[in-house]
Amino acid sequence: METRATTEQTKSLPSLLQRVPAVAWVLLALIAFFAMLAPGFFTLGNFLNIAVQGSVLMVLALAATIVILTQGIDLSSGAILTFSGIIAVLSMQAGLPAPLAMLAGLLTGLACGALNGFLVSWALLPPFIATLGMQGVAGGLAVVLSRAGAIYADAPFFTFFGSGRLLIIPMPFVVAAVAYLCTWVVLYQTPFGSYIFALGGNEAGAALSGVRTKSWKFGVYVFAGLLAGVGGVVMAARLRAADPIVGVGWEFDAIAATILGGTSFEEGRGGIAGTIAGVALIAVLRNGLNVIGLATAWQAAVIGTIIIGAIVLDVLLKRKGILK
Amino acid sequence: MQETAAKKPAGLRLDLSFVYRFSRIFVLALLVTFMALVTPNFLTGTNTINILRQASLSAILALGETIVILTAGIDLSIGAVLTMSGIVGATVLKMDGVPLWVGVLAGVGCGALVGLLNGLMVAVVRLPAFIATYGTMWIAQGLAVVFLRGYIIYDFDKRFRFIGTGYFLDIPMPIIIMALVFGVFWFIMHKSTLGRSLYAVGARQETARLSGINIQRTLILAYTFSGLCAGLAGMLFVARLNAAEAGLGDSLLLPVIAGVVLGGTSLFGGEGGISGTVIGVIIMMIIINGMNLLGINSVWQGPVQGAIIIIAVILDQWGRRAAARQQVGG
Amino acid sequence: MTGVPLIAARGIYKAFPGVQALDNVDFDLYPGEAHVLIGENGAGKSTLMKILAGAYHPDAGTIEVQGNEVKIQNPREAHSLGISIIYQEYNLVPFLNVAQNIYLGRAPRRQTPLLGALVDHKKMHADAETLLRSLNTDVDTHATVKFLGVAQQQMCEVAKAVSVNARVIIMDEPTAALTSREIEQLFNLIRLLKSKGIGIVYISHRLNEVHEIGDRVTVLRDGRYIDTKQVSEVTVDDMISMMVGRSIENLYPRNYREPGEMALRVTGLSSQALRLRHVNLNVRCGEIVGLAGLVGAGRTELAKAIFGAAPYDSGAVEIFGQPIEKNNSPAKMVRRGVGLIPEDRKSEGLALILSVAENVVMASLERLFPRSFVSGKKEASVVDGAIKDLAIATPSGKRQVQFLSGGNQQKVVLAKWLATNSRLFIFDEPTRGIDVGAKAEVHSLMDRLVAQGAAVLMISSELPEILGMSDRVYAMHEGRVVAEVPRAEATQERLLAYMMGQENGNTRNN
Repeated sequence: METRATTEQTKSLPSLLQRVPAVAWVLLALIAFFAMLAPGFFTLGNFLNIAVQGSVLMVLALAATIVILTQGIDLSSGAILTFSGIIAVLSMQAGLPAPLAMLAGLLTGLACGALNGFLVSWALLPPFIATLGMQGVAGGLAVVLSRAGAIYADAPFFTFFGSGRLLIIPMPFVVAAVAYLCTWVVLYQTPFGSYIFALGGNEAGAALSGVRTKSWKFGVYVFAGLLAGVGGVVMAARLRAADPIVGVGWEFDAIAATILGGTSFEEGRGGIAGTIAGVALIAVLRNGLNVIGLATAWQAAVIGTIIIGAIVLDVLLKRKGILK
Repeated sequence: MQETAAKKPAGLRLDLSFVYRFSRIFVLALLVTFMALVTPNFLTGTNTINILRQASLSAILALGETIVILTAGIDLSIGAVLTMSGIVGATVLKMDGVPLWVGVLAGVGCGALVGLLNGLMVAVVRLPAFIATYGTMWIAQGLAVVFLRGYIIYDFDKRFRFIGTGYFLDIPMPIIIMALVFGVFWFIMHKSTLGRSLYAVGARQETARLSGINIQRTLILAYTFSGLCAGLAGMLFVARLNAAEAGLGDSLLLPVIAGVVLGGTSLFGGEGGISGTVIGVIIMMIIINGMNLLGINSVWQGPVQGAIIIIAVILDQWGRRAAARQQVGG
Repeated sequence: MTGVPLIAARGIYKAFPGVQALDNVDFDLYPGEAHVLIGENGAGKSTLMKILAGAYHPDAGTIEVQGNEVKIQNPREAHSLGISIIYQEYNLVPFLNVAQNIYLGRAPRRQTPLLGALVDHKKMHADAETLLRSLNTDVDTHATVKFLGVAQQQMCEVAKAVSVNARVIIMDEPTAALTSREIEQLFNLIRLLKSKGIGIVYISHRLNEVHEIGDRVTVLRDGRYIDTKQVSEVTVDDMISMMVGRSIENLYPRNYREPGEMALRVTGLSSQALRLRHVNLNVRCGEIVGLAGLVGAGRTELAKAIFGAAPYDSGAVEIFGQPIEKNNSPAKMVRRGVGLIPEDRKSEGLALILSVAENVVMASLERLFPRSFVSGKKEASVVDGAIKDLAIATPSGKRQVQFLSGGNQQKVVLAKWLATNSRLFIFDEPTRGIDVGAKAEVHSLMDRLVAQGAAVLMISSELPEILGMSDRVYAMHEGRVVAEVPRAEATQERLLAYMMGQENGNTRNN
């Protein structure tokens, strides 16, 4: 028995490691591929570029990861991102000081997340339908409030979060790092984190252990909404504008980054470390296709196909036992 | 007095399952009455035809979606598939020397093909349906843009446009086509073994499997039907607009799913059916049309449709549970 | 028994739609004793335990904990009253480690100011370590539960139950998935807990365990309280007769006849995933063959493997003399005239939200409607015939199956397979959780089937049913068929011995 316990334990460690390199290898291959095709790709400037472009996606993907860990899904994060940005910019236009306006943006995300959480936890809607409805509501309100066009704001405090630098590090990257750190603490250092894994791994068991599963599931969606709000504010700060279609489709990239990063829909398996690799993969892909000059028209189709292809491959290889 | 009070509950006990089943017809009637009272134009012949014509396109999409949802799945790609099929069909139609039917077939076939792909991912790879179809949604939308090459394809042969704008016996063609699709699907769902399999798979997949039903084949067919419907609706849309562009299917997904849900098909599969869907879609179209007639800015469509989906699912689940509770109690 | 009982439940009633699960049941538990709760499936054991654990609420009755009357609203309250339960289904979270699982919902927080929201991992692991050592187990507290063996997972469950300072630990069939050595380990643990003054409620089907671990035993039958005895005062036979409450002979009218052609022959079937090892058995037309074994012996897995519903690694299956290709499917088996009445009626046998009619024709769509068109007339005649034939109590074929009683639901499953005209039936726990009347009807139906030349393989956890119905009996133990016993030689004692792995009766098979 003793020996079995230890061998099983040592087995679990490589099984996690085994997972991360799978994405990492593809990532390296992609980088090599783009570097060979386009000399402008493998430069510090471009990597900073990728980091900035990937930052908002990272924040959104963190949200997607914790939701998917609970066997849920959030199809509304892109729309919430848009909506939060619009609220932040509108608040500034209405004369609110930049910090308060940005807070308004975050609270918007939080409120949308809370509604999602209520619908999933207590109204018992399947997550995909609750968040699909939310996508319509938040995305639609963004269009309503912006009168279907871009709106601008350039308060220095605000734009600092988009284009400023802390020492030499671009602020969006700093925000993403802070968001990662916070999510890491929540996921691995608080009881809430264990409940997230429990919701996905054995919800009934957790309830029988006295965990208030509904409240915590609600909390997960609130947290995810807040992260989407953060993403929206940073995005708006970078563009110095909010646009009612800016976040369209981002939820798909976020979900894809999560799945490619090794978080699965079964049993609450995965974590946010892998999501970094997933985000890097998608950010590099988007940037690389741009740099090598693939026509914009082709990019959506190519990226979509690669992502879905990768997910399908990942699932099939795992089932065959080739990947852990 | 006391006697009647004691008797009353028994005599007047509402049969909740009956109420539940016909609740959408009440809603429809209520909505029509309301619209007729507040807007004089609502009950005019042209507006009714208009609503039905609009509804027929959404209904075709919704019929396919209903079949998928009955299997406890979801097809989020229908709007994008409609766009892509419309553009593919339009491109083929514009080729020199290609007969019309080939172009239509290309569009419909394109939709069916994407549906087949969805079906394979759900049934064979066993991806969650919302992931697989969400992926194809972005791919199809992207491919639509690729095929379009930045142009709008317009001005088609009159005979092609007939299926979108023409009349047969004073009835608009889209309504006739919708009725045909409904007829075929009604037959499949209620008079064929495939229909039984679809319901069984949706109601309880493991039971269906252990009863010897081929799960994979059934699921693949469901998604293929849905894609086929999207392709057909795409061709109708192009024929009506006399143009194909990259935004064809935008903002169709939400009202279609809302229509299915309003029609009483359970998102958990196995319950509901295509007849309810037609009513649900008409309700949805009256709301959309009514918002226009009432002069509400069209930007409100998104939030309203999102809210309707959510409220409809909540009410539907609530009604279903209440009816079931009464059944058990009684 | 003296002193204040840890738990005293009096006059507990609980009804579910269509069934009175508990009907005036009493139960008590004293410190340091192991009180075994036995009864057939559906007797109400699990329901009673769930009420004590706060997962269900009784319709009537009182519960006293250490002399104080309480209302246990939810599992959390049960914990605070010192009641812990270890369910049959594992309560563990696969991708958390052992310590996190033990303290799920109660993790120690850091004492440092401002960091009080964070988990004190160091203390948690130290506590878990101490706890596990005090239970004489050496599971690594950092191990991910998913990658532990079944026995070690169970140790985690016990540790988790103990960690709430439980004075009462309820164990629901804890040995079902354990090997005999692991069971011994668990028993040592239970003795240790008893010596600490903890009361154990022990639910089991394995009557031989009662004497080994129990102090008192309470028997439930069909939701009713039968009796409570000192374990030293009762024999296994006493317990069986209390559980069954009737003698076997007059209950199972069987007409035995000469068996015919070979319907099923399984040779050397093995599967790592299903934990089946070199299984050999055969069933002939005209006979009912019983498959006895404890929960977890692999009977259901074997049935699924034969039916093509679960893949196996090696071995051969022949149906009516025809070899079956290895990667088979239920669809193909149905076409060959095989039917499986699964153990879990609600999730595998029926589609609850569909109508009686839709369920009845589900497995025979191809046979009834070979041209894929459903003829309403034909369907109605099949369905109405089945309703009449099996006396299914339903207003019409349109009624949703979820609104029928358990016995009638099981009849719908049977009707589904009768409609297929199958000639080999695998019954997995055919009478679990249904009332006595329906039971008798199911049994006479089985007899009728074999009289008409069909073959039946019947899995059952109720030995009286196995003995009363079978022409021959196979006993399974830990994934193998360990014995084949003809009807004339089959006794409860003998079968039990085989099922427990105490005797190997049939070396020919292994």
